[in-house]
Amino acid sequence: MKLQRPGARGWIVALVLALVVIVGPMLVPHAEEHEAWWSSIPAWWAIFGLLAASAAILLSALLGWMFLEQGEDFYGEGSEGGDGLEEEGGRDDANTARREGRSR
Amino acid sequence: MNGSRDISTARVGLALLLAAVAIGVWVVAGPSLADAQTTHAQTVELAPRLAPEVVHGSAWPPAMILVLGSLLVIVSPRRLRSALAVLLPAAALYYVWVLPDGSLVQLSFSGLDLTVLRADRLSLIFGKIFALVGLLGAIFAWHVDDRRQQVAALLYNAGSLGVTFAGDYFTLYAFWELMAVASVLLIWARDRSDSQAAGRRYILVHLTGGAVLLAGILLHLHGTGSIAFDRFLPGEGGLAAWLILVSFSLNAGVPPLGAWLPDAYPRATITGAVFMSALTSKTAVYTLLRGYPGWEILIVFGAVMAVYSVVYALLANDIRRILAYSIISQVGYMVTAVGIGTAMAVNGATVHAVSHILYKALLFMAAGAVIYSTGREKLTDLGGLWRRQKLIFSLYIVGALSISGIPLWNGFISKSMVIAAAGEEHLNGVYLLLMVASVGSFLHTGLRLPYYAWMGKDRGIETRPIPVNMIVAMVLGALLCTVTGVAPGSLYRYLPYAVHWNPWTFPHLVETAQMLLFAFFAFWVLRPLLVPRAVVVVDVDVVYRKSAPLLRWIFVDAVGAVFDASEAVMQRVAHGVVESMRDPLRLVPGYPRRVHTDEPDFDEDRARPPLILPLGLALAVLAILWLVARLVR
Repeated sequence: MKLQRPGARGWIVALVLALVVIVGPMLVPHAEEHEAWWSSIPAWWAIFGLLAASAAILLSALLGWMFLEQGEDFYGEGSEGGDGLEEEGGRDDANTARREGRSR
Repeated sequence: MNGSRDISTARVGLALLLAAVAIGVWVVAGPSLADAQTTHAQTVELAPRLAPEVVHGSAWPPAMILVLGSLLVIVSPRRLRSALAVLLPAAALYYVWVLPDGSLVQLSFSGLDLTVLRADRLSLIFGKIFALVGLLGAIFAWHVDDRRQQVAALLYNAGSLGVTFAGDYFTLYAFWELMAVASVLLIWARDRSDSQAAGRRYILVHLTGGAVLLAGILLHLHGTGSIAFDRFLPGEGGLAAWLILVSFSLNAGVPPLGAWLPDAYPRATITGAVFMSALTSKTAVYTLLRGYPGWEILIVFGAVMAVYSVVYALLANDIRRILAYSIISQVGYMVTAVGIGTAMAVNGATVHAVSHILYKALLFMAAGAVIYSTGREKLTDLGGLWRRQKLIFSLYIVGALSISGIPLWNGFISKSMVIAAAGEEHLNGVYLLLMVASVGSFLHTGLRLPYYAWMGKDRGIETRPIPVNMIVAMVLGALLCTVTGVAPGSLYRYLPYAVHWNPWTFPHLVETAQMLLFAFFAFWVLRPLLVPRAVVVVDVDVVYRKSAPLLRWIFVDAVGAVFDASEAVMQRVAHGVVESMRDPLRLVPGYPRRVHTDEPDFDEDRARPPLILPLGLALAVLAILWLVARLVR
């Protein structure tokens, strides 16, 4: 599994956006919404967003790989969301169509 | 993959996960909560009780419009039924909208004073949004010609309105159970084997919750002599208050009681899931707001809810299961706010419930539209729909922007009020956890789901046209999400308490922009880790789903075996007694047992004395009596 590498254009766009949201607010004097220990850390919410998202993705992938993800027949009823909807040409579709066949 | 993995591994893993989340929450939030434990109840000014000027009247509970209307729908022909399915929720919405603040209707029943209608600012705003989403759902389902679904949806909506306006526990209980029964019909109506099974689990869980609620109500009645549905002060009310809290928490999806939600919602019908996404958990939030503001334990459970479901939503494959987990996450914000219990927190929970109902209904409608048009519901089977479903994609994105808390949409003006309420009480750990959950919502509902459903690899899926009514309902939902986001005052003016908070501040905008932009960077780089896989993600329901055979063996098979064995023993004993009566001498020790021959042991005809003997004896007795009588005279 390879991690995604943005192309040159992607890097430029990301850099510009990052500068706008990090440097921009520094140029505008403002008081923090909620005073806490992190208020003095520059670009705190950018760091937080990056770390929180990375942690959520890595943790979920790790937990899923370790034990949360099981085979589709784990509960012995075909699959997670149903019993092969697409293989049967959309049984839910068929049910809906059957009901709708009686209507408009 | 992993099909052969042992169940014990999953259980251990699940326990580890929950323990890790609990420890994480405590490590992060513990210090602030520990401080709060000692000061919260004394120093925090809990939201004051709502006490509108009472208007006694002859009004009907709004739920009755839908209950009586559903009877009409049952007997109506097809065209009238379809019209009624939309007109009745519209009538209920109008009725709730014009209901005066302070309306009160009380009845006396078997010596109990029932308050079947209590309208104050809290119940009115929830009543309005439940009626509104009932109408949106009805428009979305207008093309469905299925009497079961139409009646069930009306009764389900009636149940939510009944609970909302109930002023006593018995009325609340009646409508609570009506919701459970009506909603399960929306799962079973899908007519699939997995839906039948999920419906059975759903109703079992909810009837258990209902039994716990009833037990709490009866204990409360026994202890206080009152059935009024009112606030329990933190820590008061004894066992009754805790039982009622457990029941409300179960419906709200609080872990570990909330696994029923992602189990059932993806199995409901396309249109039924829209109602389910809006009603059950938010009705429970309303009851928590009414009964348990300021209960600190809810802060911890709410924060756990908000964060733990992010992991599941990032792993899930079924699009409606992803949305179901995001319901748990969002309800976590509301439960946290209930636990904080200040006026701002109660306002925050209320406005977030309203916003959540609107954008979640929109998201479920968009997901339902995908399933309707493609017949597929898993990310592994979807992809590249963007070119064929531009409108549906755009409408979904409105819902996704809302839930992600992007400025101009309603999640921005509601979610942030809950987070600000936590900040106001210096609950910094909770503040950060809710921010993590916000990032999580953006990742799973705002990025992963639309990326792999609409933007991913084009699988050349054929789509069929979507009925106009479905599109109309989605457009209305998107408009409401946007209008309330752009003009938050349109929502704030209905909140229970006066709002002294403005979401449109520069720091708030900066905070949101920085956080979500860098979360997007993380997603872009790490998204190969989020590629959907055809798997089942094991949740807490594994406990009762996998232990069902064992429980069946213990409570059904083993009990049956004991009964069978008992019956066999009793039959042997009875046989022995009968044999002994036939030949009592066989009980005497040493009495020679008869050797079995072909001749019967006992022949009644042979043993019976000749008939002449009793007849002769009777005649002799009569003759003697006659002689004695003659001599005496």
